Amino acid sequence: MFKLMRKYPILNYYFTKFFAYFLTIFGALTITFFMFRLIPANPIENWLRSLEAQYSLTIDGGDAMVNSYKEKFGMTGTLWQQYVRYMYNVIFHFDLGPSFINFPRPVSELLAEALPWTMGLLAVSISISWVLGLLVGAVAAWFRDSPVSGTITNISIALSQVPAYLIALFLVLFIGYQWKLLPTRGAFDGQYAIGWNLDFIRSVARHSILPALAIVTVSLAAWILSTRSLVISNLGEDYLLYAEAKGLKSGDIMTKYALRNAMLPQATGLALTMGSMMSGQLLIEHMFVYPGLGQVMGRAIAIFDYNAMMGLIILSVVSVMTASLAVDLLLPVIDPRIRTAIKA
Amino acid sequence: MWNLMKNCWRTSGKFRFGAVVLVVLVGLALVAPVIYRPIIGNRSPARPGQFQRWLPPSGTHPMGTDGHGRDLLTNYLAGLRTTLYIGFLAGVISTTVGVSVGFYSGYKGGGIDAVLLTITNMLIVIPSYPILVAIAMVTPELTVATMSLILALFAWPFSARMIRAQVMTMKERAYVELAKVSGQGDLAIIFTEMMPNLTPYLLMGFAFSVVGAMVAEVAIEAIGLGPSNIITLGLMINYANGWGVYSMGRFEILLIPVAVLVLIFAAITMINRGMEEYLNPRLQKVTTEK
Amino acid sequence: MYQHVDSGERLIDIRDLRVWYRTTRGPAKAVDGVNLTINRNEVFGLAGESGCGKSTLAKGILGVIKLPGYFEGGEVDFCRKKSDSTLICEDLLKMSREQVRRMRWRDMAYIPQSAMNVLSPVARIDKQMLDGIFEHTNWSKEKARARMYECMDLVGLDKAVARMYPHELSGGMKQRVAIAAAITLTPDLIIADEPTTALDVNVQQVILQELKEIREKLKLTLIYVTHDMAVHAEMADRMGIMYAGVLMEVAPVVDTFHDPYHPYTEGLISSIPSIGGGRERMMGIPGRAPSPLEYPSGCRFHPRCPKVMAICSEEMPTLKQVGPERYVACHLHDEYTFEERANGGD
Ligand SMILES: Nc1ncnc2c1ncn2[C@@H]1O[C@H](COP(=O)(O)OP(=O)(O)OP(=O)(O)O)[C@@H](O)[C@H]1O
Ligand SMILES: [Mg+2]
Repeated sequence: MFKLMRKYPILNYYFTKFFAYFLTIFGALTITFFMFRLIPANPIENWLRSLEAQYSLTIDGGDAMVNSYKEKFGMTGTLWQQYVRYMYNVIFHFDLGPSFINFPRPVSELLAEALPWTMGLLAVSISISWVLGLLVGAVAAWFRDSPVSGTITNISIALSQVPAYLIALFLVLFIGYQWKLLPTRGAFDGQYAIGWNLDFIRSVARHSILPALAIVTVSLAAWILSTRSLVISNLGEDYLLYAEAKGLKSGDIMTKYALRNAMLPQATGLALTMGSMMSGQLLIEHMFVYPGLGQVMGRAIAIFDYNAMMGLIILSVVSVMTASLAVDLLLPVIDPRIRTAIKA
Repeated sequence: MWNLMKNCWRTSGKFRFGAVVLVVLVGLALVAPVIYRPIIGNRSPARPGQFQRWLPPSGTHPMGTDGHGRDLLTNYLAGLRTTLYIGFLAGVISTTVGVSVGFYSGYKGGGIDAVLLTITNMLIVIPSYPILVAIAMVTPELTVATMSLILALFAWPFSARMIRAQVMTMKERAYVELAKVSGQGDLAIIFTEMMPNLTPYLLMGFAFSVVGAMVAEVAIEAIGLGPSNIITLGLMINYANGWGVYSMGRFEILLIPVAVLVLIFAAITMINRGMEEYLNPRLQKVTTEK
Repeated sequence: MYQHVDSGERLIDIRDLRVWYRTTRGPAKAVDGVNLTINRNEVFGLAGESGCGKSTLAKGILGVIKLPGYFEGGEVDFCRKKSDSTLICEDLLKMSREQVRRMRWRDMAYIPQSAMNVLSPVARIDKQMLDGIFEHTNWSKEKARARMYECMDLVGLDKAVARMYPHELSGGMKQRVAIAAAITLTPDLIIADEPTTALDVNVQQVILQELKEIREKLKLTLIYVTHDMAVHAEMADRMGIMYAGVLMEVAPVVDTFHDPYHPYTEGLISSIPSIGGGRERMMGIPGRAPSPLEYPSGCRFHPRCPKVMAICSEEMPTLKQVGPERYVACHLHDEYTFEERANGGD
């Protein structure tokens, strides 16, 4: 194996990346696990109390009861045993344990139910902001001396670090309440049958606009900025002048030379945000009572649902890492310079 | 450092904008107690039931009172004060930790570096938000200091990574090598040779940590999962939402804290960008108007 | 459209060309009234200190001026042989962009100042050489490829280079690629803008030799731009000395070196650095070149001129013919006319 790797450095590169991928995920899970267990909370007691309050009954049975639930939730034995058991179940059975929310439904089911909503919202908002950001950024770069471009740039810089939930508050306030243009809660109207009918789909689309807009506003600013500076530094590049001196058509110069060179970092960036935006979106979903992972998170936090929270974090860590692994694996395919660097 | 600021001020309009806004806001926060006095005397702005509820803006209450019978202006100022203070404190803590780790890691290199870098990367991918909330929820009597500490817990890896990269490049340069040969100790080398060159990156790392900590803080507070005994701008937002200020037609109660936060984030980002442009003239050519 | 039939040996006729750059402190007049005729089949050397506008003039002829640069005025007549072997001269600045685009590479090619940066880092060499061919011909793939290998062979490049990426090549190899690419369509004119400045001295010599041989073999017209007078001495047939956006002197290379008319030319020659000697300020001429934002009144060279006269700060001399093949813009030569010199001059 090592001989082979020495012979083909690219194998070595892939191996290193995969190793780092698994190691980082494993480490992140371990850290998270111990952090949660070290937080001095008493979720089972809390949960039982909340059930009592909810159904106005008294749960008896005391310690025996608590212990039997502890077992179900994998909280018996030493911390070390709990850890080994948890990791074993996660890694070999993809079993994230039962949840307190809707006990005894397993966490994985809960997440699977919420995931499509989150992914849908994410896909829509990321594609909109990426495409729009590329366009506006390119235009801002092209007319970089005009005051309009300067204003766009400065606004984008200012907005680029503002968290999306503050934007969301503005949107809810004006579009949702003041002008009553769009719904601000949930993902669809209850009166329509869930399924592939037009009313339902329209309702889903209407409900997704505000949360998507909040996410788009902020990430758009970032894409505008990065595209603008990429395109400007590309416009000054000598190879564009050279391509023009060759008498190539402007369209060809733009697509084959300018964009090809500017797209590389932008595509990398796209993959990376795909992963990391998921965790940023959790709060937005919570605010809009959107039935995605964000809402699961809100409910899990409120009753201190270890398993659900761990599940969410695992999902997020794995998606971030997978996106960046994909980028690492694809880069040598797309960029010849990296390919050579690896060989050397 | 003073020179750096002066140069940035001279070369970058963004830096000037950000600096002016930030100085005004920090100034307001600093003189806040003076402004309280004529309105609420020596009482805490946070004490409920001081006045009649929902008074409209007037001479005595420039912004009116809220649903708990408190003066709104003094509460905004108190919120601004704590929010800035928490951000600053968390920034200091995480920058200190981040810089130390980044420095050590980058300077030593080798196995220690690999281990520290791996741990840093692990922490960076963990979504901090759920954990922060969980910790905040179970910590009784959350003070400003503990809040800052909790926020710093997840903010330091970013500075660490940035400083490490800078140290790695600087290490290559001859002047550090020279100092090594001349027999100075490691620490002496770090402080006499590298520190001056690292200052701008340190400041940028600090600014990022402050923004990161405040973003997380407001996020926790705004949806009501933070402690309710400390008035922050995030808590003001949460109150405003809870009171349903929309339906009462008192938009400004929500709008003001949101707008102030947006201003703070924008100002710090502008300052950072201005500094970056000053340090990297190529970027300046790309991003500033001729 | 300006068009006339020409029987002479002219290839390019530039009249009062002005190419300016827009800046916040007013226009930078990088090329500001250049008059020049380039003959078919010659090597024309364009010399002058850094920043005098050489590259801008070269790009102006090719018509690849981009904002903030723009054409302020002038004419660039380019003469092409029609199929009936008459010569047609047309003003490139008045032709449509599309027409000029079609002429590029086929009629006039360009070897850039920095071959390091002109090749796109993410495309293979063959792709970047072939796209120019396909754009202007309807050759088959095989034919285009054969031509590409032929040209690469001319500059001493191995076939294997075609499948490589720019970053895998040395500076000298990239420069050869640029030369090979420029000759693929055997254009009438090649403009080479300091094609060897970035290379080390030995490689520079080899490439110069190759360029010279290729030019003779293919009978191309070459405009060779460099501040390096020693290179001009080796390469050029005729030379133009540029200063502050205008030409100060145009003459055959032998005359330029042995009997310069303009004090600026004298200064340049007295300060010849060795080949590849870099861009250090010329020792022979005190003072600095003026900024294109603000030229001195009268003759733009007068503040630095050792032979300055009263009139020099008041009136700008025009480039006028003072001998067969000799042109100079200097008040020292005001009293001469071409006929006088031709009859009894030195
Ligand atoms: N994009 C631009 N904006 C403003 N001024 C410019 C621009 N490009 C060139 N100039 C100015 O035009 C003048 C001529 O530039 P040019 O590149 O033609 O000089 P050059 O003679 O080729 O110099 P070098 O020997 O350094 O290549 C310079 O003084 C330069 O400052
Ligand atoms: Mg030049």
